[in-house]
This record gives sequence, C-alpha cells and structure tokens, in this order.
Amino acid sequence: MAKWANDTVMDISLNFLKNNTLKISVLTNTPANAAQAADTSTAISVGSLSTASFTLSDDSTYSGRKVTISSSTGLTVETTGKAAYIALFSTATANSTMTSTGLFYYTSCATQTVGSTANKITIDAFTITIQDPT
Amino acid sequence: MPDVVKILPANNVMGHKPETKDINKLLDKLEQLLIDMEKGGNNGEMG
Repeated sequence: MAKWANDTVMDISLNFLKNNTLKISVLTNTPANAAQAADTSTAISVGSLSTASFTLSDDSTYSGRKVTISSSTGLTVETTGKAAYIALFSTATANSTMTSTGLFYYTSCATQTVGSTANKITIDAFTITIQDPT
Repeated sequence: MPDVVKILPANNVMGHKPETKDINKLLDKLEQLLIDMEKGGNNGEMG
C-alpha cells in the first residue's frame, strides 16, 4: 500500500536543526545536555555554526530529505583525548530565527586521538537524513 | 604549522532499520561460518 509524506514534514525537523544550532563540538563521551557539550574542560573542540552551515536537499540514496552540515576547519583543541562523538547544540539564543536552545543531536565519528593542544581540528561535512515513509 | 586532525562524523539516517531480508542474509552467512569453523576444528583434531 502506498505511503507518502510531503517534504515539508521532514523539512520542519531539519530546519529546526538549521535554525537553532549555533555550536558543534567534538567529544570523548556522549553529552547529557548542552552545557556538557560546551564544556571546554572536557570537550576536545568547540566550533560555531550558522544557518549557512546547513543545506537541505533530497536524499536519493535513502529516499527522503537530508541536511548536510558543512565542514568546520581550523578549530582549536581545548582538551586532548579520543574524539568519538560530535554534538550539535546551542547554549544561548542569538537571533530571531531561533526558537530553542539545548542539546539537539549527537552522532559518532571515526575514533581519532587528538594528542596535542597545538593541533587544529577539521570536522568533515556530514548528513542527517529523514526517510520517506515505507 | 600545527598538525590538523581530521574528524569524520558518521552520516545519519533517522528511522532506518535493516530490511528483514538483509538480516536473514546475515544469519545465513553466520550459519555457514559456524559450519565452516566446525569443519575446520574437526579437521584439526583429525590431523
């Protein structure tokens, strides 16, 4: 039996991330909240994002809608350790498009040891997809 | 120049679950692997 959802249904969730996420951090452990994701005494690195960092498009691989979070480069290393997670969050409202602050998303990354605060961090672009109904 | 550490985040698919047929294929492979291992073990004992 056929199932269908308007792209708008998925885009509302993806646009929530786009409009409310101001920060991205590289972490060793999963954060419980935005304050933990932002804590530079434990986070390996914390970078800034804007709405321009998020691009919505069709996902032809999984049949759905996706948002691509663009790469972040030249980030400072706050704490050395084993990078294992990436978090998207905001700790403060900064503009009129924002409706929320908080921890919005975290995902894993290929485990990588960051051995020196003299290093710089590049976070590659990645995607979040919401599939069409199946 | 400081060394650049490249972080590679996983791509995410919300709501994605493996198809049953994929799981069945995996189970078939696992079963075959166990059979092969058992054969290998027996051969070892005999040898």
